[in-house]
Amino acid sequence: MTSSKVVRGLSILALAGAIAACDDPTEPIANEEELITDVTITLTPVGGGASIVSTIADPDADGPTPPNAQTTAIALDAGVTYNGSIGFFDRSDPANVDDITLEVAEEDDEHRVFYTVNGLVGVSVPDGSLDTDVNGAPLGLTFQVVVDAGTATGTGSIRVVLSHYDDGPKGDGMTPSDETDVDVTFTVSVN
Amino acid sequence: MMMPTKLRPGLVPTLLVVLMAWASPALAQQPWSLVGRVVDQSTGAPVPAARVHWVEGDRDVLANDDGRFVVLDIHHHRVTLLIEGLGYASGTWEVSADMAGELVEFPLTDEALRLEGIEVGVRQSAIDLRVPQSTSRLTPAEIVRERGQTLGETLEGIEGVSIIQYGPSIAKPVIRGLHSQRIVVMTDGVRQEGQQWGTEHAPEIDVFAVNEIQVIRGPGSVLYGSDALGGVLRIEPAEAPSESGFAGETVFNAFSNNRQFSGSAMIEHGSLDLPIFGVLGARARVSTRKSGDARTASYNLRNTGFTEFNVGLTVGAQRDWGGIEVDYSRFDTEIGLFTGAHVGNFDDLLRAIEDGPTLTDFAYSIDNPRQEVTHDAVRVDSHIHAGGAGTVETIYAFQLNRRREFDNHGPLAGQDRAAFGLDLYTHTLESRLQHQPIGVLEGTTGFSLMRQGNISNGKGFLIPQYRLYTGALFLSEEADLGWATLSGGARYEARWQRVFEVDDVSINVPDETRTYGDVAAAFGISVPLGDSWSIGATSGRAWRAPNVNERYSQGVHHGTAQYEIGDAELGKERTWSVDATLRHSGDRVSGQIAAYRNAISGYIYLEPRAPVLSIRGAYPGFEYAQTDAVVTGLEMSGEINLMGGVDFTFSGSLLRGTDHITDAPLYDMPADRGTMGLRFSLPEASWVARPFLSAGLTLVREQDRVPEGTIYALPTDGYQVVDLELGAQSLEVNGRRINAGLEVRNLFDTSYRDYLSRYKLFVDDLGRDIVIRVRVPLGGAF
Repeated sequence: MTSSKVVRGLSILALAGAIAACDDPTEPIANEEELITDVTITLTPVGGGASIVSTIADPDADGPTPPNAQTTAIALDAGVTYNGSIGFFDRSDPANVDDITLEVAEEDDEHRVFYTVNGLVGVSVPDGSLDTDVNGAPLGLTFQVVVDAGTATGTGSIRVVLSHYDDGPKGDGMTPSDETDVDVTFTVSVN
Repeated sequence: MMMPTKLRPGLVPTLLVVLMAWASPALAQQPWSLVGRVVDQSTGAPVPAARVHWVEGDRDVLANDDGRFVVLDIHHHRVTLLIEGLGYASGTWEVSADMAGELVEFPLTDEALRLEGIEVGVRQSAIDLRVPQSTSRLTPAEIVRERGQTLGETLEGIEGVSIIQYGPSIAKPVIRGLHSQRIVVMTDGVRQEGQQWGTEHAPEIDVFAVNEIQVIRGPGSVLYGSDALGGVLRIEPAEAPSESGFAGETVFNAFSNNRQFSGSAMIEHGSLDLPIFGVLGARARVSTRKSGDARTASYNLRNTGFTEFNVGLTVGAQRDWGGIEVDYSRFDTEIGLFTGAHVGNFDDLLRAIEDGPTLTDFAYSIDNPRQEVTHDAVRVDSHIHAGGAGTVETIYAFQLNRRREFDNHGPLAGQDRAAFGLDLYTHTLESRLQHQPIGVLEGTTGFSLMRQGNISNGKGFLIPQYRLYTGALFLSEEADLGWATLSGGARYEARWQRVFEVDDVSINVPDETRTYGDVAAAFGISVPLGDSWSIGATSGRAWRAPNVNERYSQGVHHGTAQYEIGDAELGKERTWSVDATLRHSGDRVSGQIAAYRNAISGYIYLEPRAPVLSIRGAYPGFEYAQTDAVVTGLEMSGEINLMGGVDFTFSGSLLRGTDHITDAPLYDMPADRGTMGLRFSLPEASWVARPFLSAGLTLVREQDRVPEGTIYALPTDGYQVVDLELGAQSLEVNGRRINAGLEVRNLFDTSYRDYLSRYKLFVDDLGRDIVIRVRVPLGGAF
C-alpha cells in the first residue's frame, strides 16, 4: 500500500474518533414537558360564606399511576348558588409551580371547560353562567353551580373536561374537541 | 445473478387465454438465432474469443477473432446471455426474439473499471434457477419507471412486501408480515440505522439516489446481522462512475393527488485526473420534493404534506490493487401528520371516529403535529485484491440520525419546541474476505462491529438514552455441485447495551446494562429440474434482542390514544424458518411460487391491559409482552408472453400470522392481495422506442383475522384498485433520448381503507393520482 493511502486511511480513522467523542449519552435527561398535574375547583356561596376548595392531583403526571382522590369532600347546601372557578396547575416541580390557568385564559378562543353533572337531582351548571372568550363563546374558567331549594338531593359527581380546539375551530364552543387536556370527576353530595 | 422483476398489475384476462398459452404447441416460440458481436465499451474494438454463456439453455459459444458469435436454435422468447472476455468485466444481457436477424453489439468494459448505470432497453428479469432463497429485484430501468413518493411506495406490488402507511409521506416496508426492527435495510452495504423501531419512522432514503433494490424474503441474519427476521431490503445506489467525460441526469416526478413536485439532478465524471489522488470518478446529486395535503376520493387530509432536500457526493478510485469509494449523503425531511388522527384520550378517539373527517381546503403548509428528520451518512468502502486468497472488502460508515417531533397537545402546544428529540450516532465497521474458490466452494467470511449512542433532547420522554456495542463473526459458503447448489452459513453476534437513568417523577427507567449473544444460521439447496424448472429450499435460525422501546416505553403513542408500557425483562426473539420455492423459466412463461413458515419464539407484541387513568382522562392501556407466534404464507409471481406483443403478469401474497399460545391472530398482519396486469406493445415510431400501454388491477381481500379486545385492529373490507400506465423504453425529443411515462393510480377514484393504514380508523386511503415521470440523461451512456 502506498503512503498516500495509509495517510488517507489514518485521517479517516482520526475523524471517526473525533465524531465518536460527541455522542455521549451519559448526561441524564429531564422531562420538561409542560403538564397539568393539579385541577382545583373553588366554590364560594353567592352572598358570602366559606369557600369549598378541592383538588385532584396526578403527581406522576403522564405516568401510569392513577390520579389521587380529591383532597376535600364537596358538600353543597340546598337553595344556594355558588360562584365557581377552576384552576389548572403544573406542580411537577414543587419549587416552581406553573399556573396554567393563565395560559388557558390567554388562548381562550382555543379552550372550553365543560361541566357535566351526574347522579345529582336539582344541581346544575348553567351554560349561561360561564365566562366567555373574545368571540363570545363560553370559556368556563368561572361558572356557577345552582342548587335548587326544594328538589336537590343525592350524591353524584361533576365531571370537568378541558377541551382544546387546535385542529378544528371552536365554533360556538358547545361541542367537545377531540383533544382533551383535562378530564377529571369530582364527587359531590347535597346536604 | 438474475432475479425476477417487479411485475406490473393489469386487467383480468380470461382463463381460456391462459390455458391456450400453456397447451397449444402452435403458440410456442419458433426457434431463432442470435447473431452478436462482442466489443470493447470504450474503443469499439472487437473482443476476440469472448465466451458467451446462454443461461437458460446452459450452453457456451465462443466468439471468433472479430468478436462475432452465433447462438443457434433458441426456443425461448427471451433469454439471458452472460458474456466474459479476458481483461474485461463480465456482463449480462437479456435478448429477445425481436432481435433475430439483427447484428447485436455487446460492449464489455475493462476489468479495472466498473460499469454503472441503466442498460439500453434490457430487462434483467430472467429467473435464475440456481438461487435457493426467495428474492425479487427491481432493476434500474424499473425504478425509473415506477419510482414512488417514498421507498415503501416504490416497493408496492412485489410479492411478500406490503407497507404500513401514514398517508403518502410515511411508508414502512413490511416483509412477510414483519417490519421495523424485524427487517434490515441495507444502503450500499451499510445497515441503515435510524429510529426504525417506530411505525411512524420510515427509512430515511432518497429514492432518486436508488439504482437497484433487492428484496430478500425470509431471514437474512447470516450476512446482514441480527434483526433480519422477516427479510432484508438491499438498496444499491450506483457505483462511482468510471467512464471518461461528464454524464448526468435530471429527473422530474409530479403527483397530482397531493400536488407534489419532486426532482433530482446528478452530474458525474469517471476519470478526473487530480494531483495527489490520481484518476478518480466522482458523482454529485441533489434531490428535492414538495407536496401538500393528500386527497382521498372525497376529502382532503389536512396536514399531510411533506418536503425533502437531499444531497449526495460519491468519489471513487479504481487501481490495480482494487478500489476505494467515499460517500457522503444527507437526507432532510419535514413531514406533517394528519391532524384528524391526532387525538387526546379514549373519548376523544371515539368522537373522532364517529364524527369522521372534517372538510378542509388544500394547503401546502405543514403545521404541528409534524416531524423533522435529518440523516447524515459517511461511508468509506474499499476492495483490495489479496492475491491468491481473494478480495477483501472493508466498509466503515458513520450515520447521524436526528429526529424531532413537534406536537400540538398540551396547554402550551403552540410553542415551537420539539416534544421529542432523538439523536442517534452510529459507527459501523465491516470487513469480509470473498475467498478464491476452494474446489466447488465459494463464499465469504468476515466480522462486523457497531457502536451506537442515542441522545434525547426534546421536552418529553420517548425512549431512554443508551450506548450500544455489537460485534459479529460470520461465514457464508455456496457449492455448485452441478446437480444442485448448496449454501450454508452461520453468524455469531454479541450485543452490549447500557441504558441511562431518566431523572423524572413519572418515568421509571433505571441505569442498567444488558448483554445478549446468539447464533444465526442458514442452509439452502437448489435443484434444477430439467432445463427450465428448479426447486429450492432454505431453512434458518435467526434472533434479535428486545429493543429499548419495547423495554422502556411509557406514555401515549403518537397519533393514537394508546398508552404503551414497556417490560424491562423481555428476552430475545428467536425464529426458525422453512421456505421452499418452485421456479420456472420457459418459452413464454416464467414464474415462481414460494411457501414458508416462520416460527417466532418470544415474539414481542403489545397486549391490552386495564386502562391507564391520568388527569387527561382514560387511555386504553397496552403492555409489551412475549408469546410464541407463527407466520405462514404463500407468494407467487409470474409472466406470460402472449402473442401480438401482449404480456400478462401477476403476483399474489397470502399470509397468516397467529399467536401460537392463544391461537388468536397477530396484530398488523397484511391482508391477502394479488395483482394482475396486461401490457400491450404499441406501434413504434421514429421518436419512440417500445411504447406500451399497461393496465393493472390490485385486489386486496378483507382482513378479518384481527385480534379481539382492541379498537386498533378493526377489520377492513376488501377492495380493488385499477391503475393505468403509458410509457416507453425511450423517447426522442429534440435529438435527445429521454425516459418518460404517465401513470394513473386508482383510476376510478375508489374509496378504500387498507388494514395497514394507520389512519384507517378515521379516513380512507388515497384517491386518484396522476403521475408524470421524466428523466433526461446528460452526456455519457443513455
